[in-house]
Amino acid sequence: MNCKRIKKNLIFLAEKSLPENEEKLLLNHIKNCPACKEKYELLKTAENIISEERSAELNPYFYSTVTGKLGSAEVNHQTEYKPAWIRIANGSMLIAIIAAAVILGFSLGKNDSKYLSAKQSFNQSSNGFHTEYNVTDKKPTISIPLY
Amino acid sequence: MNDEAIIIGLADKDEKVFHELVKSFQKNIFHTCLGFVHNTEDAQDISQDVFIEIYRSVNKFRGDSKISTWVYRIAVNKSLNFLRKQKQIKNISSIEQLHSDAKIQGEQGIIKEPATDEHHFEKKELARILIKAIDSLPKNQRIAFTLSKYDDMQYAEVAVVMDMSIPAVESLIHRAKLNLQKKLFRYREGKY
Repeated sequence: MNCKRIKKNLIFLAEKSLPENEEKLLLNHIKNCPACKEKYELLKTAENIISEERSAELNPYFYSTVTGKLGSAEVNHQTEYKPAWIRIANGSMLIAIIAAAVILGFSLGKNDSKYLSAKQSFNQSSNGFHTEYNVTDKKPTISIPLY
Repeated sequence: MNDEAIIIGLADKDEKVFHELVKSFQKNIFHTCLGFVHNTEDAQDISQDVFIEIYRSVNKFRGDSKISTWVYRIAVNKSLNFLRKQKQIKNISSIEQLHSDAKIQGEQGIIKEPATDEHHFEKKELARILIKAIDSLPKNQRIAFTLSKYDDMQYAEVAVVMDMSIPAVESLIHRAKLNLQKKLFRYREGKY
């Protein structure tokens, strides 16, 4: 039996899943082949590592931890759950508020644009007061002349 | 207790039934999760989440499989989801770690851990390589290998959980083992 063929089956030898006759053949070869023996030892160690990992113990309070988590999870589930129509209504209201805010924003902006298009000034004398309309300002300013 | 009685009990939120279910499956589910995440604390957390999911979603169980199949499928999915999230976090933190490590190495030189017990160190290193090799298996090979190796499941049981034929499962597990062997040999040769 050559090493190439042996190498392919070493992992099955390490986990003892080979038929008896094939196992004997491989073990015989390994006795006399240091290279294959080294590989076999490596795989046996890997097999032991998995066995050790599997032997990890479960927390003895596992069930009480589950029920403890379940208690808070159940509460959260109950408080978070809302009927579909409420969720839809909440969503629609939010959309309506946003739309109203956008429309209001546009209309305010429209009023302001009257003052932004060109610079015009009107002097009106009325009881000695000058009233200037400065198109760059948002509000009209009243200046009181000093005599 | 048969499956029907368990389903009725769970639907009625019968604590005795739920307790029996947890007692029956907790060890197996823990081993399944451990086979995926290789960390006992994480495996316990995920196992707990599995039973919480069962408790809350019993009405979603269609009854087209055994309860055990359903339980294992939830465990596999939760474990894989956990790993996916871990990978995302790891990718972010590994970039941050890279920067902080580079800074430390620049200031202090590379710090080498003294190998006090060579055999122990080698075994630890092999364990790390083994976990890395299992993690790198294609998804179905990994699931089949983990269920078979960590849960001692027969091929027929694995086939039911994975919704595959028995020959397909045999092939997956066989290929998984050969892949792992190949990776471990490459490690030994210094190429992995």
